[in-house]
Amino acid sequence: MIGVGTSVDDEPLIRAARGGDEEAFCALVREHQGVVRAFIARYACDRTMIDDIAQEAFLAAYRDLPRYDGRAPFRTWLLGIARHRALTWVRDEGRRRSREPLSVEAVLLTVQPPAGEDLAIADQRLGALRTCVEQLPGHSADLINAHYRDGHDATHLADRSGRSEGSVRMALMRVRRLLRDCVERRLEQAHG
Amino acid sequence: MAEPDERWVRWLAGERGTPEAADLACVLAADRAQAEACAADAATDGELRILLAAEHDTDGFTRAIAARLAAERDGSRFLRSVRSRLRDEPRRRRASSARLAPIRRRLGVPAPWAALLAASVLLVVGGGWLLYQPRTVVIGEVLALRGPVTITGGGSARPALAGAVLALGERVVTADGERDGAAVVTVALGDGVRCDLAAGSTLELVGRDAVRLITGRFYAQVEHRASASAPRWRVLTGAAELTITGTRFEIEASATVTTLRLEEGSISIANRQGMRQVPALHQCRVVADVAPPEPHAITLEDIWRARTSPVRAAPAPPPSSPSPAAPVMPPGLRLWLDAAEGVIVVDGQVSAWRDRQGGRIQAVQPIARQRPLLVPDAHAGSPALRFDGAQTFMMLDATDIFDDLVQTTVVVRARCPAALESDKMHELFGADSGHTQHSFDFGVRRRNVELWAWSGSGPKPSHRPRCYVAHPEVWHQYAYRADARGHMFFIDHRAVAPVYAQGAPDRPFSFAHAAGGTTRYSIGTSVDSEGNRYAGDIAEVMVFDRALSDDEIADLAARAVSRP
Repeated sequence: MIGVGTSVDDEPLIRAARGGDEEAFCALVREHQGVVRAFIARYACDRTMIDDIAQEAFLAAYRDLPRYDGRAPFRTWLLGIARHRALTWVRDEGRRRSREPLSVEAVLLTVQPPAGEDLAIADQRLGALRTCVEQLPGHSADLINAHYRDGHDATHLADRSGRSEGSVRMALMRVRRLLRDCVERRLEQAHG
Repeated sequence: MAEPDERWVRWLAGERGTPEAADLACVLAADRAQAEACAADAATDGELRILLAAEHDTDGFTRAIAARLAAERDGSRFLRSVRSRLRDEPRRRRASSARLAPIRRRLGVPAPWAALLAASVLLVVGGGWLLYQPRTVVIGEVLALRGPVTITGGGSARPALAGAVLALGERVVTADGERDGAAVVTVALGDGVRCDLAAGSTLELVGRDAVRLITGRFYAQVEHRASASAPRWRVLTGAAELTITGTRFEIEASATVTTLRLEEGSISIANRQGMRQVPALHQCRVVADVAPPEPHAITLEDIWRARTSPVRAAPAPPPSSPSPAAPVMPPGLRLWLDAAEGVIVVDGQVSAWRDRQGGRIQAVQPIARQRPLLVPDAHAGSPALRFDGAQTFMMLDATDIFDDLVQTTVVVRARCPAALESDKMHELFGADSGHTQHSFDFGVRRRNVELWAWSGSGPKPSHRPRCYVAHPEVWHQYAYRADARGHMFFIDHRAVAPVYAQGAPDRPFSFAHAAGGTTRYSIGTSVDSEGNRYAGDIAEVMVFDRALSDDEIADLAARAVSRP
């Protein structure tokens, strides 16, 4: 289980990693990679790119560890680096895409990414999303887990459930919308 | 916020065909509210995809980071050693100058003049080298590595470093290890292709859009090509050929078995027996001479588990340097197949026949029933490949043997007892351009050794010189030589002027034109005709990039007779 919304005592690992202990740093990566990658997924659609940006962010964090002062939670600090890397990628990608034929990704990149979002809120939002997934009613949770966790596509899910592919796709979209609304509600409650 | 377009829902569900994407992109570009709705949906989709799938992928991602950290650490060590050398450079230069001073004094050449002289020599030598150096086509780069990784090619080998460039024809070899992590390398190839090569693997770069996995395993991420007309990326193995669109997959190969595990996208896997389309989250295991079976479903977990398992025992990579016992041959040898060296035998049949010079070229036959037999004591105590005249033949895995040649000499040592049985052409060595414009067929027909060169243009484009051979059923060295003077044959050490079944001595013949564009090369068959299959034994095939002299050809014949 990834550590979304959990409190982890990172201090000993950070101290060891600062001293050049790569194993300790890998333990930090293992703990925080899920949230960092999910955060970057708001900027990039392609999973290869998401992983590339996330790797760059972790490597940058490793190099910058001596400058981490511990005032903000470690994960928030990591998300700051990830956001910087993601925005750099968005800028470069935008330039590259402007020279290429129109594509869906290129158009989505023109829609303003959540650049100004507070990192603590981003962390809370991902934690809220995880909680909202856990609170989904049975059939919706099954659908989301089968598609996103187990990797089954709409065709496979349609075959398995006896529904049409179109209805499976629309059901997935409706659950995504439910989750988005659920996350918004939880964040509003958290901030009064 | 607007309702996402139905096409968006399909796109997000994985139906990302080029026409649909272009159509959807136009809708989104024209409608800001629609684009915002789709971007919001995409954000949730991305978060869910990573958040839930990452639970399984934690180890894989962490290993990738560990590999990059190790590569950076190695790179830092390398930089430190370079800096240290640079720091020491002035001291070493002073020491060197002090050593050279007595020599300068003895020659009476003052230091500035010596420097000028040395610079002139360097300019001439360097300029010459730049003009005549072999052209290197760079098609990849080493991104990160851990453990001993070697780059081989052109008869040499060098240790790989992060940032090293990879040229066409080179091989990346990872040292054997008990686990994936023992020796791994990540390479970037062409446009948007990344391969993580596991320990105990050999990957050959055979083109801008193709690699050959000779043995071992790699995990690849291939981006969608921007244009539908762009060539698709291909992976060649001993058992199959895979054609890939944008995807992630893992492939494991030995000489005769290939296993594909597909994470995303779609891959076509084919061999001579058939073709299969493999969908996402399916596995397909193909054996060399059997049609690809129905793929079966697997989970992401299965793929990740396979990635962390050790590579199955793989045969050692082929030698990259000539055999120490190799005799001295005339210069210009572009291909040298010798049944006494480099023959890979499976159940008595020859599956591969490697160039004796240790180069990249080999003749292969992946299908068991089409493989020639290896006869151990066929001629003067040496082995030969036996072809049955019906099914057996071999194809060369090079496409450029005749490239840039304006003259050549082709030498084959063979015997053909079946030559007298019919008027059939028993082909020794063939080349073809793949579109019937140019072909080059060299073989034995009754009591003749014959060349049929087809150059695809002009009113009578075919040249068909031949010469008489009294006893094709016994061993001979057949040589064909083409240069500006035209055609010439040699039976053993004797030069024999040709007669013409088609074409005539006074009709201009250009070897460069006849062989121009040939890309497929064969032994024991013509590339495009099963009717020309060779029945008999072939012990040696050589192709030179120049016209050998009569004496050189006679020497080769003498060497063949005196072989141990």
